[in-house]
Amino acid sequence: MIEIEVRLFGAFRKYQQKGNILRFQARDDIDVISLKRLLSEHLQSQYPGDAIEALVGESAIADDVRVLPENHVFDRNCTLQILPPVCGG
Amino acid sequence: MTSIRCEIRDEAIDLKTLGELSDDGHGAQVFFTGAVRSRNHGRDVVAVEYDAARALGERVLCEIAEEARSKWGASLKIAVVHRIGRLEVGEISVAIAVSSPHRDEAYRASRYVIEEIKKRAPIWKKEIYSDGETAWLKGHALCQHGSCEEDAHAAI
Repeated sequence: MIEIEVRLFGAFRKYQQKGNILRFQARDDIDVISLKRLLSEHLQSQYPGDAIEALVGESAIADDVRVLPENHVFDRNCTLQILPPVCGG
Repeated sequence: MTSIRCEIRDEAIDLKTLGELSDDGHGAQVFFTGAVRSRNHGRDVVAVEYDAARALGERVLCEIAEEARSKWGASLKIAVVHRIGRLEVGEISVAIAVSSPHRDEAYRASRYVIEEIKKRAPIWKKEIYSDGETAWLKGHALCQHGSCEEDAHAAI
């Protein structure tokens, strides 16, 4: 098992509790798709009235350097970011 | 000044430092600023809160600036600064400065940078309305699979 921290941004800030980080334990071959599903289920269980699955589906997973492709596999503890659709400027 | 300066900051943007792009070979400087406006989609806005994934965001801003230089000339000097936190109406949220030998590439590079920021930079804005309601604005999806929709509604 590995420990994954996910930093929350934008519309996900609504779900932050202690700081903007959610922490999970996951199997050590989890990919981005499965991580998003895990995140979605975790948040949906706490906020059943919100359209979380759709928001997570529209969001990207990134590290500090790049957005990660869906087939990216995590094999060690890591800190990630979930990025909802962007609108800077 | 180095060729590219990119920053995401909490404090107000100092336009004077943004203009420090001097180069004897440059005859053109283009400055763009984006500010919070008082109405959007028919609603009265009193403020906007910007959020950003700062480290990744600064990296993306620099990538965009480098792309502009590769398109319109390695001699271009570009500064991009985006502010985060709460901004009142009229405050500047983003500033872009481009210095180049001639005006054509400066205008084009400036336009390119702001358009790419809107599509790619991990920055979000929440509008605060006069009636007290708030909403995270629609945005461009960064995820890389076909089911993501452009201009997805991120408001909850």
